[in-house]
Amino acid sequence: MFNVFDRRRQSNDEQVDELLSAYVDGLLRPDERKKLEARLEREPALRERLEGMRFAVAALADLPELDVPRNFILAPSMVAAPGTAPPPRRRWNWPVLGWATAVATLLLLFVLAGDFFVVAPSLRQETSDVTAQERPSSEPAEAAPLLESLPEEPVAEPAEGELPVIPEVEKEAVTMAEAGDEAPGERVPAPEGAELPAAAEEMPGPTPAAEATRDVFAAEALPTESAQLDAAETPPTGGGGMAPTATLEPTALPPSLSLSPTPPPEQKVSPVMQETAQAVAEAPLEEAPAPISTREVAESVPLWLRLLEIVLALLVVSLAVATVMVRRRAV
Amino acid sequence: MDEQALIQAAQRGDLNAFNELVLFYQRQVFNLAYRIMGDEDSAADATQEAFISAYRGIGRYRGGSFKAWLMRIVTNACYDELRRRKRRPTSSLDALYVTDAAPGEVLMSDSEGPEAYARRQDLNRTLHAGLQTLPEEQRTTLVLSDVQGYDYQEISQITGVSLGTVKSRLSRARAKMRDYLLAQEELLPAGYRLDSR
Repeated sequence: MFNVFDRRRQSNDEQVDELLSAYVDGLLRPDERKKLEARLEREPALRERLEGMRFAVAALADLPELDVPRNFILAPSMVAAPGTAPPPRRRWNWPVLGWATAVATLLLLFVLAGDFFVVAPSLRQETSDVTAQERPSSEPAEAAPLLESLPEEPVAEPAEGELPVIPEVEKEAVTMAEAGDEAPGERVPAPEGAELPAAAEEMPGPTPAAEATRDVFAAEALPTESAQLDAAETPPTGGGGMAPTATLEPTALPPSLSLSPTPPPEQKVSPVMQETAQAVAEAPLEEAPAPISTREVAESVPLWLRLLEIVLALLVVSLAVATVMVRRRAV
Repeated sequence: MDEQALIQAAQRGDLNAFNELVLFYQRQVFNLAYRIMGDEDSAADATQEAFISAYRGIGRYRGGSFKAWLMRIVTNACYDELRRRKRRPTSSLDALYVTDAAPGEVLMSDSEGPEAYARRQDLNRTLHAGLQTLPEEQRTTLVLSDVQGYDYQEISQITGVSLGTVKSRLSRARAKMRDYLLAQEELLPAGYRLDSR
């Protein structure tokens, strides 16, 4: 209730002050001026308000004009070409930068999560698979290069009608045929300069191991030899009385593995055979690091991932710093 | 000074011609900025900024009162600076020093005795402080009208508002200034007290 009266009184005061201000400036119409002058004669309070306003106006008009502290003439370096507005200063909107920072952070978290929960387990799985493949018998990994090297070794082409020249296999066959019922599991020291693979050393005897490895070695590594041996139609291995030319296919093991129980007493080893044996025996040593390179390939996958993570992290930090700086400037 | 010739030369890129205009108007521009801003340093900055803006934008000047066009630029420069201050309020080290010198203190005239000179300085100080209590638009209108002597039409051009708005702002500013002086009456010199008149 009182507020209504106050507002009405305030509004009335403003209207009176507007009249008084216009009266001071001499801008009232003649009828308005006469009406106001009549009120001024009747109302001392209104007259006092008018005097106060006149005093303020006169005092303001008497305010001194200051001298300039310096000249404000322009130097060429202070201005650009006339008539051209200054290029609008590019203002970065800090909320946009904030959103960009948030998106980059989410992307980084996504990549990190993918690294920890998807890529790393799969890599571990791959590594364990590789290890599992290597662990049962270390010979495939170590023998693989050996097998790969075998077909490349020059094998002397046998003359027509002759048995193929198979260095160690023939030797072993001959030895076994001659040995007859001697214990087959005894080993013979490897040739000089050749190391026996661990798995080969553990091989129990010629027949089971040879059967087991025949598919692997004979079929893949020495197809020509097997074919040639099959073509010779040698009788299956048996006890004594085996033909001297009969060969055991399983003995397509690396030449460094001699299954004959005793060193061949009399062997007709040609120089070609010796060279081939020497080359095959040395081959595994040269190709030994192959399995490690496989692991390196497996581990090279996270490298780009690491780089991506580093780049994203740097992006997040840069955007965050830029956001803070732009926000400070904007405020 | 041929103002139009200088303006046209400045529009063609003649900086010397524009500087002639600067020298002619810099006192009025600076005084308006000083009454709006309240201190000399800010007024000097606003004045310099206004002249730079005027030179860069003189190509857009299409005739009329060059003085009103210039005053509008300095008024806008002052408003920009005041808004910047509101966003980032800073306390000036100068404000820590209390000086006896009145703002814009002028030399004593020959016809004025020392006592009258001191009273006038006190009144000037009170008026200057009273101006700073007014809202920006009312202060600008009051300074343009009662300090610098522009008529309503020119004020309307400078401030970019209608004549009615000018009248309304001016009457409110005067009434507030009157009330301020009445409230500060004990600080006013005896000869300037309203009840003693």
